[in-house]
Amino acid sequence: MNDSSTSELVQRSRAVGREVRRGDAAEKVTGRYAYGMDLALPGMLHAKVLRSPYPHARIVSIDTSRARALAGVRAVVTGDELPWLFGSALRDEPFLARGRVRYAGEPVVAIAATTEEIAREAIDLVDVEYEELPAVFDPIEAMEPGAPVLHPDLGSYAMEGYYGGVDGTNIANHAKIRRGDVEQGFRDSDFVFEDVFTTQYVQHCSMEAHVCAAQVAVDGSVTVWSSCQSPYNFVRDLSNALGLPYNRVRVIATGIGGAFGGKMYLRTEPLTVALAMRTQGRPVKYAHTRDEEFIGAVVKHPAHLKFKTGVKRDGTIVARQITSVFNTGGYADAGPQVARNSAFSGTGPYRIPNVRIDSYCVYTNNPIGGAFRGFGVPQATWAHESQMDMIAHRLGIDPVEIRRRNLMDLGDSTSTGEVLVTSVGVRQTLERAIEASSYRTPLAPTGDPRVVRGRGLATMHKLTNSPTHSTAFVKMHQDGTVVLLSSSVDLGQGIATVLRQIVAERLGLALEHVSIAPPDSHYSPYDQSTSGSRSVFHMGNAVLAACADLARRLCAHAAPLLGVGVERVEYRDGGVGVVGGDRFLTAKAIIEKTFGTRGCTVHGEGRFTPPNTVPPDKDTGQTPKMSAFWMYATHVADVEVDLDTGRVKVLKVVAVHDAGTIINPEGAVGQVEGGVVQGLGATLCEEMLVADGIVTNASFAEYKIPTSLDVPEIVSLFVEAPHAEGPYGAKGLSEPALAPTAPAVANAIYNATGARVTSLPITPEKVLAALAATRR
Amino acid sequence: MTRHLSMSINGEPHEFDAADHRTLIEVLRDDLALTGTKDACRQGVCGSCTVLVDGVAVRSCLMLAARCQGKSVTTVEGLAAGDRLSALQQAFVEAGAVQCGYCTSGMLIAATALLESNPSPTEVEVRAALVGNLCRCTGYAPIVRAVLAASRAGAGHPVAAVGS
Ligand code: FES
Ligand code: FES
Repeated sequence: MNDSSTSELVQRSRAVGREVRRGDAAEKVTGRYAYGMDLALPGMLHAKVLRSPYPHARIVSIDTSRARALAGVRAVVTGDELPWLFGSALRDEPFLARGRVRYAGEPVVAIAATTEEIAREAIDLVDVEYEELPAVFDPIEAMEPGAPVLHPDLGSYAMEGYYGGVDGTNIANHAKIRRGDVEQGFRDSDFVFEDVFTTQYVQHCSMEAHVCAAQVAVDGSVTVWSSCQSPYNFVRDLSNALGLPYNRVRVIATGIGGAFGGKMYLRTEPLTVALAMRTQGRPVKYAHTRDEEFIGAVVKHPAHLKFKTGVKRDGTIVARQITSVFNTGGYADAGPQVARNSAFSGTGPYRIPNVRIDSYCVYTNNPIGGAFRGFGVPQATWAHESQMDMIAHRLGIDPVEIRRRNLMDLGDSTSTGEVLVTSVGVRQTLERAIEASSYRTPLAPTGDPRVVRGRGLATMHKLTNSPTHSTAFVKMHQDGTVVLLSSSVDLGQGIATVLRQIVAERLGLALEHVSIAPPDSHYSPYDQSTSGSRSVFHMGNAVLAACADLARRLCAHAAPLLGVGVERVEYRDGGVGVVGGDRFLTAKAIIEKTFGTRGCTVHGEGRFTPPNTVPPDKDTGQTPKMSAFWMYATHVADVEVDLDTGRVKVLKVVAVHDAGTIINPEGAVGQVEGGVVQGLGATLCEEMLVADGIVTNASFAEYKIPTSLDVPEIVSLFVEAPHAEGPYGAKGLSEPALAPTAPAVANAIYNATGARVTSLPITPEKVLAALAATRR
Repeated sequence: MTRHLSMSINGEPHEFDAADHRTLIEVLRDDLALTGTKDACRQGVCGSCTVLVDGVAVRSCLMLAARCQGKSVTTVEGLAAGDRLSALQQAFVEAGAVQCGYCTSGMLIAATALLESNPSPTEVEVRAALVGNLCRCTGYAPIVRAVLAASRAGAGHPVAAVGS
C-alpha cells in the first residue's frame, strides 16, 4: 500500500481515521460497566493470602489448624499440596511457596471463606515458622560466584525454546546480539565513551488491582474469570502447569481497570484455582489489596545499563557494546523476554555497524519484575538517548545534528540484521518535533537567576514481538448486523472500538451495526495477547481477513440469487452486487432468501501472522526480519530547574509519534497523553523503594503517581508513515508513548544547568548532586 | 454493634442494618449492589470511591455507613436522569475522558461537586478540584477538558439537548 492509496482510503472511509467515541464510554460514565472487581457469582467464596515477611527463608513448618477450625472457612491450602510450577518463558514458580520463599511477599498460605472478613481473620490464625537464608538483592552481586543461588533447579525447569538460563547461577536468561566486529569498530573510532545508566522499580498502579475468580467442575475442568490482558496466555500457562487439556481450561476476560503490562501473565490465578479445587464447585474470588499490588504483583525491572560507544569526530557512531542487567526478583515471570527485548532497542533508531549486546535477566530476593508498558525498551531508551546527548556535548555537536547524522532510513538495517523496507518515520518524528516545539527559539528566562530553563529531546524505536498470531471470527445476523469475536482485551486503550471501526469500514456498515463480544477462550478465537502495541496491526489484519471470508461466503450465496456466476459478483456497501452492474442484494436479502426468514447466521474467520518474520538466532540475535513493524517517536521537553532546591518542573512536552495510519485519532491522542504522564511519573517522582528485599512504600500515600496538578501541557502529533502490511497502513502506538520522555527531560535539565543525571528517577537530591559535580 | 440505618441513596429511601465498623463503600458495593463506586486503595488516597453525602464529596472508603444516617447519598448511578446522561457525563464521553474508566465514577462525582459550588471554574480550579482523584490512563488532560466543556454546557444537571 503506498501513501496515496492509503489517504484515499481514509478519505472515502466511514469509520477509519474518523473521530469515533469509544463504545463503552456510556457504560463507564454511568457506573454500569462490570469490572473484575465487580464480579459476583452464586455461592462465591472470598480468598485471602498469607505472604512471606522474609525475602529468603526456609519454611520450617506451617500450622493451619486454628484457621481451618474457624467458622466460615471453606478451604485452606499450602504449597506442599500443590506439585505444579507455572511461568511463561520459564516454568519456575510454585502456586504457593514450597519449602522456601524467595521474596518478601511470596504467597505461602491461601484461604477461602464465606466472607472476606472471615478469610482475613483466618489468615491471622496461621502460624508459619521460617528460618532465614542468606539473601542477595543486588543483581550484579547475584551474578558473582558464591552468591546464594535462588533456583538450584534452574536447569530442570521447562523453558520456551528461545530462552536459556545459566544452570547453577542466578542468570535466568542471557540474550545476545552480535553484529559486525565491535572491537575493530572501537579501534576505528576517534573516541570511545563508556557510561552507566540505571533505572528504578516502577509499579503499574492500574487503578483496578489484580482480581480473578475460579471455579472447578466435577470433571476437573477449570473456569477462570480474570481482569487480564490475555485469555490465551492464561489458558496455555494454566493448562501446561496443571497438565490439563486446553479445552478444559476456560479463561474469561472481565472488564479491566488498566493493565499496562502488569496483567499479562498469571499472578493471582494459580492459588485461586488451587483453592477452587477444594470448595466442591463453589467459585472463589481473590482480589489484591493495594499494598499486595505493590509487594505481590509485578513491577518494572530496575536495570543497570553499561553503554560503550565508539564515534567518529563528526558524531557518526561506529560501534556499541552494551552490558545490561535486569533485576527480575524471586521468579522470572516476563523477565527473560523483557531483558531480551531491551537488547533489541539498544542501538536506538540509529545505524550502528558493529554491535555487541549482552542482556542478563537475574534472580534476586526482590519483588518480581514483569512486563511493563514498553517491555524493557524504556530502560534502553533512557540509556541510549542520555548517552547520545552526552556524546554530542563532548564532541561539541548539536544534539539534533548528531541524531540526524545517525538516524535510520528505509534500506538501513537494524542491529538484528533486518533491512527496513517500509514505514520508517523516525526522521519525520524528529523534524516535526523540532518544528512543533520551536526548538530553535530559546525559552524565555524566568527572571529569577536561581530558576533556569532548558529544552531537551529524545527519540526512540521499538519493535513488536514477532511472529505472533491473531485470529478473529465475524458473525453476521440475518438482518445484516455483525458481531465480532476476538480475544483482544480492551484495557482502556480502546481496541474494541478500533476493531469495530475496521469491521464497519471493511463491510460498509454503520458503526452501531457492529458489536464486539467479550474475550472468552471458549468462544473467541486465539490471540497471542493484548500487549506489545500489537493489537491494531495483528488483530486488525485478522479482522480484515475474517471480513473478507464473510464477504466471500455471502458472494457464494448471492451469485445464484443474482443469476450469475460467483466470479461476476462482489461484496460492496453492505451487500453483494454484480460486477460493473446495478443489480444488488443487501446482506439481509441474501441471508433470508437463502435460509428463509426464520433466519441463520453467516460467518467469516481470519488469521494474521506477520509475513516472513523469523525469531532471532539465539547466539547472535540476527534474523532477516525481526518485527512485524517498528514504531518511532521523538519527544521534546521544556523544563525549569530550581538551582537551590534541585526541583524540576516540566513545562511542556511535544510528543511526535509514527504509528502508521491513525485509525482512531481521539484514542491515539489519549494513548500519547496518558503515556507521557506515566513517563513523567517514572522520570520525576515514582520509585518503589525496596530495602533489603522489603517494599517500604506500598501505598498511594507513599508511592506518588502524577496528579492533575503535576502534568504539563502536552502536544501530541502524528507523522503517519503508512505500513505496507498494516490494516489501512496502521502500526502500533501505546508503548512508545512513555519511552522518550525520561531522557528528553534529563537532556533538558542538562541544557538548563550543565548537570547530568544518569539514574532514574530524577529526584531533587540527584539534581543537586549533579549540580555540585559540575562545580568540581 | 449493628444498627438500623435509613438514608436516601440516589433519591430513593433505603433502610438496612449495618455493623458499626462497616464503611459506606462496603454497604454500597457489597449489600446494595451499587458497584459503580470503585475502590482503588481503601485508604482515602485515590479518590475513586468518591460519593456525595448531602452534596459534599467524600471518600466512601473512609466514611462509616452509620455516619450517613438520615443523610442523602449520591453515587455515580444517580447522576443520569434515567438513561439521559448529565452534561458532565456527556462531556466525559465526548472529550475522550474515559479510558479504562476505573477512575471515572470518582472523577464525575468530584467534578459534579465542583460545578455545584463553582459553575464556571478556570482550568486551574478544575485541576485543583481533581487533585485527590488519581487516573493512570488519561494523563488528566481530557478529563479537565470535559469538566470545562460541561461547565459551559450548564453544570452537572441533566440536560435535554447535549452536545449543543
Ligand atoms: S478507595 Fe477510597 S480513596 Fe481510594
Ligand atoms: S481512565 Fe483508567 S484510571 Fe482513569
